[in-house]
Amino acid sequence: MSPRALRLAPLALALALLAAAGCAQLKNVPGADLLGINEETVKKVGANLGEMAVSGEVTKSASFDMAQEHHLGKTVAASVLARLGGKALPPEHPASRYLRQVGTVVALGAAELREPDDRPAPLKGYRFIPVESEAVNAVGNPGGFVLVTTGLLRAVRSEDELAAVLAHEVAHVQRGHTMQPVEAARKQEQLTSGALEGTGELVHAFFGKVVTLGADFVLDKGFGKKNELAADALAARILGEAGYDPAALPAFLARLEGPSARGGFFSRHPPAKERVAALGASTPAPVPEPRRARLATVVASLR
Amino acid sequence: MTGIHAALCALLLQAGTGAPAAGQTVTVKREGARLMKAPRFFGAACGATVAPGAAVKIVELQKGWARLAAPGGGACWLHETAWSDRKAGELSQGGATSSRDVELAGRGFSEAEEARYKGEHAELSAASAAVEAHLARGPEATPAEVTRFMVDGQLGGAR
Repeated sequence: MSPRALRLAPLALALALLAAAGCAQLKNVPGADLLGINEETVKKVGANLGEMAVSGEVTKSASFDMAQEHHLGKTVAASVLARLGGKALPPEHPASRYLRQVGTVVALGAAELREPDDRPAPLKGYRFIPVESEAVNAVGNPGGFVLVTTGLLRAVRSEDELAAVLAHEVAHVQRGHTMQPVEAARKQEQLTSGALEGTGELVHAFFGKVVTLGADFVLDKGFGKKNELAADALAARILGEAGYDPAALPAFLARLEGPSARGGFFSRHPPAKERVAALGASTPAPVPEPRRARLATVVASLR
Repeated sequence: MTGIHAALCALLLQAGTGAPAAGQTVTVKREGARLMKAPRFFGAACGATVAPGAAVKIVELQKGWARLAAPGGGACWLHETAWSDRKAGELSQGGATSSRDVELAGRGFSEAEEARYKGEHAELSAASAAVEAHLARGPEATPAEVTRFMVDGQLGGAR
């Protein structure tokens, strides 16, 4: 949010409350002149609030289409990438190409398992982006931008384990978990942003707020135990659909449980033990040699 | 009479879900939508492609897949994710969608707002450039590439 927007937000809320309380002389609100709010704007705020109260909009949330998710997701992904250190490998790097191939197979498996309430498909398709970082992390963002650290590429023992992590992130995107904080925030923010509709003062305030909020959730807070376990369950089905071993996900989680599981991918999830129990542990099948060899080649290409 | 009744029911059901029917035309929204020879994401692709904005006529529908009149001369299938979308501003708890709600749902979620935000956050410039590079030069693997990758890696068994 810009400094100006930050200054104006409390005033907007104050104006909103005053208008809701039936104050007719909004132009006389202390501070309005100092902040450069003209009389026309103040009148517009009052009118907007009246309409919102009548329509009942303040109690409802609204959905976002695929283009809106794309623009938000691209910005959230950039914000998350910056927080991860900001160094992505270029698209031409062998790790990028490999991630794209595994990721596309996973995304197609997920598409075969779509349900009516799922988010629309990413506007320009998924993007799987390797990030130079020692942390073991993968982050699915709105719009299908999936960031994967080189630390995670080194930590997986098989392509199936990598596919399992990607499937978990794709599951979050497809089921709409990555957009839930945004949709919830919109409902909470509606009073303020609705009051300022058409005033030209805070047009992009909400955008700025949800970029930060979205990055906080996808990178640090996670989407809640229920959604995380649901993403695990869907990931296991995606793996089966794509021809990978569904046992790879609990195997990866169980192996990294404990001290090595602190931070990154694990910090925003329920305990690995709980996730493994929900998935049901089973012994992974041996990974075919060609799959083992191509992962080894990619890992060797990393600095 | 039974047939007419069934047809009417099917029409009403179709109208209720908002889904297109055979004979209707839809507009492609998604970039990189796959045209397949069979109604599934894995397998052989048609040689043809469809770009965003293309209007395509549906000949047959099958579990989310539409067989198109063209391109492909009636032999190509397109999944509904290529054209189906949420309506911006659609209310989650029902009720009519007001013009205000549409605007509010869309507020700030446009290319212009994205650019404005990034303009105010110089610290994101390198990361944004990296994401844009992958957007431009790192698209999803093509159907042929996916098939080759799956065969090479012994994925999918009989696929």
